[in-house]
Amino acid sequence: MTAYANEFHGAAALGLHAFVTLPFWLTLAGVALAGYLYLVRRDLPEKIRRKVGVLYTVLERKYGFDDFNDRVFAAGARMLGGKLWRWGDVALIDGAAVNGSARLIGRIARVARHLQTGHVYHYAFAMVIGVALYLAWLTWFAQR
Amino acid sequence: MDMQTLYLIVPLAPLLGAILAGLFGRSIGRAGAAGVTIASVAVAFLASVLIFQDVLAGNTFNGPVYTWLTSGDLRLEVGFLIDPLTAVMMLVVTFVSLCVHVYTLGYMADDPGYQRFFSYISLFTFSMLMLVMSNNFLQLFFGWEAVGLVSYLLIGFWYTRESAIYANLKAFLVNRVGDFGFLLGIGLIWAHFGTLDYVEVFNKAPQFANHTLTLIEGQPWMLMTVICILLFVGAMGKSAQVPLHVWLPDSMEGPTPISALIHAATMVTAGIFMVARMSPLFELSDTALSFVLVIGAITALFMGFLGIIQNDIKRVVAYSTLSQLGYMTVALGVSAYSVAIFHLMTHAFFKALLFLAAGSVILAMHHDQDIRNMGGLRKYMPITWITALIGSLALIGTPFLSGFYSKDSILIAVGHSELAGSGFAWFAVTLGVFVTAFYSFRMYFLVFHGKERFHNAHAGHDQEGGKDDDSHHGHHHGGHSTPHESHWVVTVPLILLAIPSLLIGYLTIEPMLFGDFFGSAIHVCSAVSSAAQSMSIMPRTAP
Repeated sequence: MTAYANEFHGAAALGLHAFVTLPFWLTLAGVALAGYLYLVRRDLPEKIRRKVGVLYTVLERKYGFDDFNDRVFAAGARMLGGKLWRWGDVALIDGAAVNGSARLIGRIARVARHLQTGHVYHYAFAMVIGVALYLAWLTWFAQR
Repeated sequence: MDMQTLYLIVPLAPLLGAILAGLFGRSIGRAGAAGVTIASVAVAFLASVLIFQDVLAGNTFNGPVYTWLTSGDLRLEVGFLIDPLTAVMMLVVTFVSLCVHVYTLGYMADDPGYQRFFSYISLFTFSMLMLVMSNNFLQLFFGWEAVGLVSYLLIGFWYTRESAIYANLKAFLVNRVGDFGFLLGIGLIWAHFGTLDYVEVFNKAPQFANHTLTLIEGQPWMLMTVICILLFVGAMGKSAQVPLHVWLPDSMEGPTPISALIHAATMVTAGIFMVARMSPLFELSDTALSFVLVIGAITALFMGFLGIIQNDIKRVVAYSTLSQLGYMTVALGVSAYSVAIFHLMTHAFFKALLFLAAGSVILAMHHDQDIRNMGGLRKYMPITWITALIGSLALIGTPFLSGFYSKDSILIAVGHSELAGSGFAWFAVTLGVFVTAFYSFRMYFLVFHGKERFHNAHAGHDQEGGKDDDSHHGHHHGGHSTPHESHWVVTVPLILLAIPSLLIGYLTIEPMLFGDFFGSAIHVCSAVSSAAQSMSIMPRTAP
């Protein structure tokens, strides 16, 4: 930028100098070509388009950025979401955690209900065994 | 009135307008909503002019106006940093916003969402002003997200259209990708510098110049390089640089006034502004600058190519915007920050002009946007024609017009750079000049010159459906009618924007690039390549 500052001789001078620079002639060429193709020979753009089919398709598809994003990121995110839903939500949380714990309780209850016979002497017997075990445990610890 | 009150008025006036129009739109009515928002933005513009004069006189300001919360070392504040860089952005934002507000009177005249629209664009103006006036990273991020939110709301303004909903969701998601990087960058700054205040960070930055960061064992990275690239990822999202550019062309689903204001003149330049503001950090990493340079060069050239084949008038201008944002990014990459801001300013005027002119054409064509169906319009809409011609000439860089000075300065700056990637960048921006001229005048000739094709086109117009069919807009036209010049509320903003498009480059290149205008607001490290030196330090050689 030092060099630029040294070259700079005011806005008007820069404007006049432009007429001998490459960008100016490139600009002029761009305008002239646009005028020729879209005012004079209006049939040419269509012909050029057909000639450079592949190139036109690349531009038409915007270099494929959108397609890539749609197919990889958008579709990928949807697929990931679908998988997480099926394995995480449906299988793991709903299946294993929610329904699984309900099933587990059911299974425990199915076994445990055999204890509930409704006979008083069964309960009395259970109490006697319990008291015996408790006393055994107490004496065991009292000795130490 | 002291200056601090004036600083507060600038963002708060549009906020008040947005609240009144948005929450009380039904009771104050259509005219009331338009009146209150236009008045509030006009107040913000006038206050910006006063502040600009004050800054020109040498007064700057940096300080908090409100402390939001304090927690240990963390102090979150709302504060303003008013320096030449901020003052320029404030003027550009409020001026273009004012033009767009007035233009909206005509463009949205038949829309049922009139008050909602005015509320949104005022809210946008508030957010953008908070972004540019900020003196800390938190408020910067607030403004950054707020403009993103309003952009989302406005792209999907016509929310019954499938394509508009798709476009605003896309814009939102792509911007999240950029914001992710941006937030990580801010987080790294907080983690290492312990403050979010710009000036404190900039003062501490040189100490961290040789600091490294190890993410993967045995692969140390320069801390500043990581921070700058992460911040720039945020800029890539907001300023639509490849590969995060995909949302901008689709954002054209929104109403034309916001395409001009948000997706051409102001919001998309937030990334450019942010990098220029962070120049003391970027100057510490040549790697990050090379990255910025190459991304910008790719965007400038390849998005220009896409402009050539578009047939929707707004999409041609949208790709042109992408390409021009690439030019600004290239200027940032070669450390020519003042040139980037200079191009940002000139571009804001002539691109807003081109968009509003395109909107005027769209009105005349009864919301048909296909340029193949236009032609010969210069006879019917002389003001739109002349102003669009001025805009196009400014865009392609016709000598003495505003775009010429800014674009030529970028080319010269790149030509003098020795940074890695500058050879490719020079080739890209130089070829880009030809491409810009070609697509701009392809559109100009197809719209304003040649055979009048709209007589045939309009018969089949209704069947085109989709985005071209704005039937809920209230335009019911049988058969074909002769296009006519738009209402004065549409043409006056065009004229107001055409004047700076013609003159501003000529008038401001000396102070902005070679004078001491930016002063310490933009930092260019003297240790980096000679090309980057003394953009604003070297005295101008006498003619």
